[in-house]
Amino acid sequence: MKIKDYSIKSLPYIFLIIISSPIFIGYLWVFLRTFTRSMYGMRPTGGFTLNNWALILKDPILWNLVGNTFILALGLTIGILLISSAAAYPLSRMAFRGRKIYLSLSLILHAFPSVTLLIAIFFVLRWISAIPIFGRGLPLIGGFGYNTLGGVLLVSIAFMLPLGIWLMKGFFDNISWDIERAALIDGCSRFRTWRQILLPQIRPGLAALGIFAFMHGWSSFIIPYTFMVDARTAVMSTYLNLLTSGDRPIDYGVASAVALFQLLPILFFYLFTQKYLLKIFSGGMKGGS
Amino acid sequence: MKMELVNLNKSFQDVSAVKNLNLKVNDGELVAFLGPSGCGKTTTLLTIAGIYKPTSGDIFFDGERVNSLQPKERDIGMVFQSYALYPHMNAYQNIVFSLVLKKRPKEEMQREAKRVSDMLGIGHLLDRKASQLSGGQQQRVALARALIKQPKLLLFDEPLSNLDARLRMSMREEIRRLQTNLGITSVYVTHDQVEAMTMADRVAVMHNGDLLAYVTPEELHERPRTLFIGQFIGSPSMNILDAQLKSIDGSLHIKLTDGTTLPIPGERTPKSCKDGDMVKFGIRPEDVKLDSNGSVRGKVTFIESLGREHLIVSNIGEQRMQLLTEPGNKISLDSNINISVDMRKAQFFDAETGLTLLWE
Ligand SMILES: Nc1ncnc2c1ncn2[C@@H]1O[C@H](COP(=O)(O)OP(=O)(O)O)[C@@H](O)[C@H]1O
Ligand SMILES: [Mg+2]
Repeated sequence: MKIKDYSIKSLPYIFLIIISSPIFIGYLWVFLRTFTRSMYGMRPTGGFTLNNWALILKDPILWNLVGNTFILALGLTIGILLISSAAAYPLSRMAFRGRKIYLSLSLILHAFPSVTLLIAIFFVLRWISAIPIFGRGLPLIGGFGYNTLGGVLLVSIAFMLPLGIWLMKGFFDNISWDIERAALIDGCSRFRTWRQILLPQIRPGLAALGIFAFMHGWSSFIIPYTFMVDARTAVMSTYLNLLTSGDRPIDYGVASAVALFQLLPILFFYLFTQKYLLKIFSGGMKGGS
Repeated sequence: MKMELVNLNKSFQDVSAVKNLNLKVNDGELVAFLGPSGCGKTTTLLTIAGIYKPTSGDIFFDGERVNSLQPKERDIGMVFQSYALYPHMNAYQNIVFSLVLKKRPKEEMQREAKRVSDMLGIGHLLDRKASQLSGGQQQRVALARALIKQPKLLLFDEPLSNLDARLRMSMREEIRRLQTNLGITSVYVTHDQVEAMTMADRVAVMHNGDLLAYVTPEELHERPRTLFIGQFIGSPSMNILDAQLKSIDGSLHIKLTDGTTLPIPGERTPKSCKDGDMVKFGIRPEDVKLDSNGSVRGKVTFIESLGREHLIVSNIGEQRMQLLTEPGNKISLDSNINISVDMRKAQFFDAETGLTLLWE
């Protein structure tokens, strides 16, 4: 009786484990491959080695790419947090002409496949490039034009904003009006109320969106791939693409090491922050337009 | 401070929440805005506070027009039904927040916080977060936060509605005591008529955005100007029966639908009425008694214990009459009873307009 009970309960788990195993096996393969000379299926051949790791960790390009990827992820996080939280407040709290239209348009924009806009954005970035200094003369990010990290950052932020604004608006919608009124009567300006009374209350939402943006920026591929021509000076995902798609024979050991190297921070980050990420769905989605 | 509203209107899109409100509040007075939910009380209060801009009309503080002043420039304190404490601050930080914004020195903040928290008996709670306080304690902190500014006008929006009945009673007294001692002009919004009647110097009754009456609680109870007020004020509420005026042997009587007639005392003669007119006859449950010699005959349809008293609902003909009795009476459901009515307390309202036929 008991044993039967147990086996019936475990059936769904067994089923789930089976259908997700290809993914696990894939990651396991990548992991093993970084420490071996060659593999036949899942079986390491030719013995274990740390050469793959040594090769990429000594490669100055990699550290350059890590830096770029980090700047992109961090820039996306900061940009999204600042703009979304500032834009969502009036959308949640103020009555102005065009508010409803703006909200529905940004929702449509979010649903829009970004690939369809790539060519148009290419032209926009080219125009931005023509602007002196701002276009391609800034330190660290290179500028905001075509073939610069800043340009990629700009486009990434733009694509993620609809989601960010809607999430933040959901959090603002959940804060009682009375608290804001109390602050206004106590002597706050509208800006100060936003800054000192409302933002602290949506801190979990900000944390969640920030983490989300960071991970998105860290692993983004299509935008950097399209708008940064030289994959060697771009980000890790494009470098990975270069390693696996060139006309030279592919060194799977090195490629796997780079892939794992890109994956690890995300994995750790996720482990420590999933509590906040869940809040996006439990807290932020409440509240309508 | 004196406060005056002149032809105040506030509409939201097509909803007219406050209609042409005219009202003066004297210095040190506590005025209650009383009315059912949705009648525009909160809207009026928030317009006074400067959170809403009036659609038209003016607001005067001590004779000065304040329409264009920001909330923070109006020198007011406000207490909300939801307490509205800042959740990320502790009680002390909540209370002194307005002083922090004014960049007052720390010693002054501590001194003032002690002053108001002593007044409200919350000195021991100052380092707790809002979520660690009970409803009653949160409301005290909110009150302290409003008082620390030494406002010229205090606004209350149903501050006691979320508290349990016993706490509500003691807070009622306490707020009134503080308000009188400090002499702060106050506007107190409530839908609870007991609160309005026990606390206020004057009561403004609102209904659908209109001001129906603005008088003292006693006046409101004894001389209701409309049928709505008559029924809204007092608990259990006033009995209203259809009746016809009838002259018998030269003196005016009312005739109820079951044919019973009752004499109307001279001082309660309905104005501008004639023999045969239909009126609404109002009488409070406490002015109706069980009396074996009573001339009104009814049948008991419902008995409810109110603790100290019993509420009996009886039918007189087709109409309902509620009365209060001592619990000792052995009255059973469906029994026939005789009732005497204290006609010196009778109210009469126009059957069509619902306006009083007795008072100016
Ligand atoms: N911000 C608002 N937008 C639109 N309608 C409102 C708003 N605030 C109040 N109302 C409407 O105005 C009327 C009065 O509301 P309110 O002043 O809150 O009533 P009360 O406080 O007496 O319950 C209601 O019909 C309400 O729906
Ligand atoms: Mg209200």
